[in-house]
Amino acid sequence: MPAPPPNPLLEVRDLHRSFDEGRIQALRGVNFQIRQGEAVAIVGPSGSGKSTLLQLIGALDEPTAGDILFRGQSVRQLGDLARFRARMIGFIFQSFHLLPTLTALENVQVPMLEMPWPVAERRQRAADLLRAVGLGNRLDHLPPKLSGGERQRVAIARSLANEPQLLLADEPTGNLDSVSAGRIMELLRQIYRERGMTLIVVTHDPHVAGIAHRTLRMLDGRIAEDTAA
Amino acid sequence: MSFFTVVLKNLLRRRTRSLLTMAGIAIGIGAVVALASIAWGFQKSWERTYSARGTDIIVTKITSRSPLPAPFAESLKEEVRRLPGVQQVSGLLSDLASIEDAPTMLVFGWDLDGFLWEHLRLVRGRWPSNDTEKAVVIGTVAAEMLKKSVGDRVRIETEDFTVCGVFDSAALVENGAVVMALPQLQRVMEQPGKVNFLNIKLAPGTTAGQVEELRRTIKARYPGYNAFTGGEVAQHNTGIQVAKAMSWATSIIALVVGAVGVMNTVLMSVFERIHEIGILLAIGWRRSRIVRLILYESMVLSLGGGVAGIGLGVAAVKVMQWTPLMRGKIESEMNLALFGLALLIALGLGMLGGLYPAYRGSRLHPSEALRYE
Repeated sequence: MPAPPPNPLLEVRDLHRSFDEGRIQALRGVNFQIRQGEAVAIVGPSGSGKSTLLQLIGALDEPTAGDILFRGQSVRQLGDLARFRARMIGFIFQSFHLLPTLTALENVQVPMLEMPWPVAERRQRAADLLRAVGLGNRLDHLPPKLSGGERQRVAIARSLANEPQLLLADEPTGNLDSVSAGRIMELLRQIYRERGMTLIVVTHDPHVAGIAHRTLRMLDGRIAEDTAA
Repeated sequence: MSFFTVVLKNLLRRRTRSLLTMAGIAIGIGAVVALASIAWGFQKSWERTYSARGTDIIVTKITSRSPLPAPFAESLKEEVRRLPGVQQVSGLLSDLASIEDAPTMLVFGWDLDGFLWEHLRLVRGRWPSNDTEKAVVIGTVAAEMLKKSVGDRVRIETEDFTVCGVFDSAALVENGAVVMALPQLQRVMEQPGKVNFLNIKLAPGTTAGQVEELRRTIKARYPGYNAFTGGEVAQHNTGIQVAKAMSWATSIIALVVGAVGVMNTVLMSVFERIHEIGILLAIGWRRSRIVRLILYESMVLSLGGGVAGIGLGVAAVKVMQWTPLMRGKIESEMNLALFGLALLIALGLGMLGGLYPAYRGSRLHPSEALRYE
């Protein structure tokens, strides 16, 4: 096991999350730390609590007990979770979750509406991001006109829109064929390295786990194994 | 891309539903515009009647709310004439009568030597020559409604009269009326020596203060009588008040239906987009932005409906004024204030209809909304 870093970006402390008045215990005391710039894969069988953990880290949900510290500060005490989500976190989902009526360029700009940027700057940033994910020629396409791999690229560009520090990906290749999946993983690896970001990927896919520095294996709501690649 | 682009694209996604909702609002706002403009036009028309007649003050008996004030003895005329500042007083008896096949019409009896005749313009024929002649003059609209002209006979209550002239007046109310010498109407209506209005014309140069002074004098000296300026009579006219109340009652029903329509549409669109709202929350939208998204959608729908409704209302009034049954009988008062009011009402409906859906949308829990498929 790697030695715990002095100043972790993210620290998860004895995290619990139960549903249905305690009848379902999704997380039963999870502890780990992640350094700035790390790429971490969270693996494990369905129902082991991976996605619940990711949603708690992304401040989409609140823990029943325990705490998450971001740069040493408790997320619970942030108050404005929307601001935290908008500026610190980039989310990538298994089924892309793009808005069907908006073009690729517009989808990437949706999170930017929370930033004090003028319209022209938003547009420029979105176009730059789409070029960076290889979709420079698809700016004005609507999601239904794009392939699965292309949609996930738009979603990746959107997750980078507000220059977040932490990228959270929930089964990003789950809806893609193996060729597209390989390309998406390559893109993710390249992006988080170039931008000095921190990446947490929830996955079943051993290839996806292959790009990570470290793998957290979950079982029954706990970390069963924490291995460096 | 601006925030508003997202709003518009959401509405365009459900084009048919958006259009139908706007149509609902348009009908409500159209009803408001049409009915309010007619009710206001009705009042304006009466106000014009008094100003056209050159009447400064009208004296009537204070009565219960019948459409027309109760008759009183003509002798009051001579007393009022002696009050300071009064130049002329003209007695007037009016009643509603059904004449032959035409619907109810206003019938006036005027002092032949009074000043009321001065503002009418004779189109054909002549004026009644004396108090005993069984002759009437009719307005141009009345002539059309009764299908009568000079020389024809017209039956009023139980008596036949000869139409001796056709006149044109600046006031729509008079154009649709029948006018005869006062004693003739007093006999037909069995009100000998009675009038129900005194029209007072003041000496030229009378100030507003002096008009007010005279009104107070009349009210104080003759208990049971009231003195109004022309505009006030129009406002207190029972018929006008009923017309206004009816127009508002009808409008409110139409508006409630419109507002419920907007709420239904917007609420449905929120329920259909639970998952999407979850995404927006996940990628960092604040709840207040979700509220604004839904409220703006609702307000765009209702404003669009409001603009269409103004067009619809104007068109409806024009069509009504053009149909044979209504031609020449309704006057409408359309102005920017009415249109502005209509748009404000539409905006209010949008706010009202969007408030609850927006509240529901903003209460969604991000992770639960994301799980919702």
